[in-house]
Amino acid sequence: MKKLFVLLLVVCCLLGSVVNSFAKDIPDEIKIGWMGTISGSQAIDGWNMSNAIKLLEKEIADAGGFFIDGKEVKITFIGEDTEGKNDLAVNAAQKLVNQDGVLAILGANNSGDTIAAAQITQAAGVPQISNTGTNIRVTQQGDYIFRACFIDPVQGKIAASFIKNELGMTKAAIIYDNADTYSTGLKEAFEESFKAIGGEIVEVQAFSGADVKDYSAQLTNIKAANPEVVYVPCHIDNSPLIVQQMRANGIDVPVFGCESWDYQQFIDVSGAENVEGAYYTTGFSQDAESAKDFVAAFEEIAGERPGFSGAMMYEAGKILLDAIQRAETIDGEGVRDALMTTNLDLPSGPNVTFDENRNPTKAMVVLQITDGAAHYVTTIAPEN
Amino acid sequence: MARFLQLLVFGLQLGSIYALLAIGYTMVFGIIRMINMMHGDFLMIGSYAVYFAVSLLFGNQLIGPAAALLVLMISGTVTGSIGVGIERFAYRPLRSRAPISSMISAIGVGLFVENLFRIIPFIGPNPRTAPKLMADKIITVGGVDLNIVSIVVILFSLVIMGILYYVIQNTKIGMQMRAVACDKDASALMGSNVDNVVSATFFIGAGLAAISGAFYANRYPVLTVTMGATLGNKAFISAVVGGIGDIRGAVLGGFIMGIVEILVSSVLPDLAYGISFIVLVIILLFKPEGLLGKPQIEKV
Amino acid sequence: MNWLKKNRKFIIIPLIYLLVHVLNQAKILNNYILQVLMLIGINLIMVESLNVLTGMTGQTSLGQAGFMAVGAYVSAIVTSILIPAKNFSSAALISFKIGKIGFQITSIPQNLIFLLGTLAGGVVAAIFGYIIGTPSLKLKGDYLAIVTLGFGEVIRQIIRVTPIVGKSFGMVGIPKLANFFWIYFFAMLTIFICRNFMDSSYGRACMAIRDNEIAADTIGINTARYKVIAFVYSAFIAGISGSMFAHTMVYLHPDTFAYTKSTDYVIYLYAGGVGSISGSILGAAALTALPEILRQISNWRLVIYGLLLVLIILFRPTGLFGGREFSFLGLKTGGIKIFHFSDLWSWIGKKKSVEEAGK
Repeated sequence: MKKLFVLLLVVCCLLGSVVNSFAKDIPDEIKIGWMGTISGSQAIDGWNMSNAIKLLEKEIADAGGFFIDGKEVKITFIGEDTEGKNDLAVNAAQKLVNQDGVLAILGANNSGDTIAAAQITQAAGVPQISNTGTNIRVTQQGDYIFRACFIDPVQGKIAASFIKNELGMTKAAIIYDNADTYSTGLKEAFEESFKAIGGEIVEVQAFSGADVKDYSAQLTNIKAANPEVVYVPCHIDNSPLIVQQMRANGIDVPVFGCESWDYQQFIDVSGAENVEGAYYTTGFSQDAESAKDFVAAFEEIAGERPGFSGAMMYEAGKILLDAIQRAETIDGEGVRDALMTTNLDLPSGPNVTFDENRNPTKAMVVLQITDGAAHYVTTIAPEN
Repeated sequence: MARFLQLLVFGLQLGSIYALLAIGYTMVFGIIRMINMMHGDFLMIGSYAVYFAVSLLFGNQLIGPAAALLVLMISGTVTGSIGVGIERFAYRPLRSRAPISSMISAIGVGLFVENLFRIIPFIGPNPRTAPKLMADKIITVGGVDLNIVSIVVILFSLVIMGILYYVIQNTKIGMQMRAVACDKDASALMGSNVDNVVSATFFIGAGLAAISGAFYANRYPVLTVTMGATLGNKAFISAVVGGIGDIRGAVLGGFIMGIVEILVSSVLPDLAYGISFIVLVIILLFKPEGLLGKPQIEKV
Repeated sequence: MNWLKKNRKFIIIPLIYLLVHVLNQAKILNNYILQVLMLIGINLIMVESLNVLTGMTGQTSLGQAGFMAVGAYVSAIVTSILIPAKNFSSAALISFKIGKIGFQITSIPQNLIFLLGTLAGGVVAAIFGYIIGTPSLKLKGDYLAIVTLGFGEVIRQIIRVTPIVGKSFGMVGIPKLANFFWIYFFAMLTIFICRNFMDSSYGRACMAIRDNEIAADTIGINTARYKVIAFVYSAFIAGISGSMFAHTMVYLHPDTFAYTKSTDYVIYLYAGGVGSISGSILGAAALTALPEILRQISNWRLVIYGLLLVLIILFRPTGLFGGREFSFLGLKTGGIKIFHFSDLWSWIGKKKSVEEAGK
């Protein structure tokens, strides 16, 4: 026993003398971490994100490498799974920051995971750019936390003003998932803005959790309230069923959705006839001139058109790589400062910059589904 | 009143799916006293089997009742065989141990199956549209919308319950099942092949889960690899509320579960999920052995 | 020295802590590994809590995460809303360095608030344990499993609609008060309390109920009372673990405490070896670390995890640890082989066949 005791003490003392050093200036290799729901019920987002990463890697390879001030730097992307569980997101962030020593992190795709992971990245001074964490609290976690998408209040507000001003409808009903951060956030934003501009919310119905598949009871209540439009701020796993059951229960009014509908699968799964004429807000239009090249390149890699999370992942990666090139020092602080002065043309539109709350100034677009495909309707600037 | 009746119909529609799933749950439990936590995944496997059967055999179009029945049989057989295989490798070696070991093994199998399906390229993480086996047609009777397909499903689950009840009460295999459920060792001594009986139970249980998967996919046509997880739990609760081990109880429990869920969602949507659990817990507190379960007398 | 020889735990336990601390300070154990170690500690407390209820008393619980959620949210309310810890100085009381290794004793008021929050979390969880335990007395096995499962889900639903804890947005702004020291401290405390409970007349009564309830009743054990005691006790420990979780993660979301978390703990308990304290330590440690180790093979991670789980259950009937106990913990549990450190080498080397001790 005594021997063991002495041995352990000696080991402790020896280890204490280990010194670690930091490399400065331009390194030979830069590691960039990304995290998302590779498995779990939102696995489609993770799949889209991994394709976006593949596209970024391909673009770097096509350009003959990544250069900072003329020096070639190897960029390595390291992906981690969050399963959509907050504690695993924290572990993923810890691993990326402390084990892999990444310069910055892209993702996570949902707000909850991003907020949880931000506690680690903010404390470690590692910039993190969420691709689709739309909840307003995400970037409030600290000055190293950015996002590539718009925020829920803006999306809710734009949906409200489009319904009231462009469609001229004043009676709206809402069905939302009260177990979900994103869905609840949009519902509250929409409700508030729609009332503020003189609209009337005739019915608010909730369900709890993505596992709920039967909305007949809620939809019966909505039908009885006789709305002119139904706002459905729900994820891709619920929305198609809601729309189908709405039609099956004889609710024929237009539906208005959110950016998580921005997948071709949404239209296929829902049935084109059920979503004919439906509107939704999103960050970019695949028809737009600025997005054409990106959509084609993505399709070549993934075999499918990009979903919103894939597109935003790509933009987050673009923003980050640009900031790394411009950064005065290649470390967390340098990249953070460079991110704040971002001014970039991206698939979603020209001159994307970050405001003081680290949210991008991107216009939103409203799309309408006609003949089984989403078509561009209008662009609304966030100020309005 | 019409609205209440309408909700009742919705509840029955949802309940019929729980009921079919709960039958399998309750049979497995009745015979080997095992909580099969991956039973919901049989539903997932079954609905994917339907998906592939329809897209390979018929292309992606509405098929008639006869072809639909064929697809159901195919999916039931495939899933039933998978169920028998899983029982053979993951549960049979555990039969002599505490029931909870098989439950944990089942959780492991569930994780394995769900994630393996996610990785297999032609299944993948993306949601898929389930093919409609039958076209929906809505008829209105006295202000209540009735969906033909749902009525077929409700009747079908009652018919299956009847057939199974008959099989268990009147055939040789059924008698063996009851004997094994009563006393495994004694029935082995009396000449029943316990392994075969358990395999048969798993085949029927998984096959029924597949059929309920087909109906489920017909009504909620979005297929994902995680679709079975919560459904399995609800079926488990239905089976327990009805009195676990009893087929009639499972059907009754399933319908009660569906109706409670719909009615509560209609009145208090914010809290529905929690309240339906409370209602079921209250039922259990007043009737601890389940609605149709017989109180078991423990002998020392 | 004789005293030390008999009570090796008093050396080994602080030494393990010191070793981890020194390795961490020397940047050999990075914060990621430390985070995993902290999670192991939190899960260990949870598995121990389930061990009291399921392993010792034989009451199935599929709602342990519900008690954890209560503890987490109540303690977080105490430390961030009732007595906001951020209003007190967070400056370290003492901080010194030996070589490159820094040592510090963190702010006393903050630690006191943290302990108060933890206690509150534990007590409120214990009250819930009483509320669930009492009416469930007449339920057994699967019926009890349903009631506890229902309890966990109801708690989650209530949190989802309660504005003060952030509804389904999740709760932010919880101070990061837990550190490796506190988690290690509480984990060790739990282990020793559970050991003493196992050896006490309460623990024996509970084990008698597990082995045969009717026989226990006949020899005069008040089964109802002891079952409620086990529930309250187990819930209290789960509440403590919840508080550690809240102050480590500093962000709480109701869906973190879904029923899958409860079943995870059942898995940890049985994979490690039910009824044995060392088994639950090992189960929690191995299965918390396993998914992290499997991160290398990202896509196949959960496939392999599921497969390994089945294999463990199939081939190690009494759990990974085979119903043994670490000898330095000084556990005297009849019929279970004591595991010495010297056995470790032969165990790894020869892969001795395991007697099915628990059978």
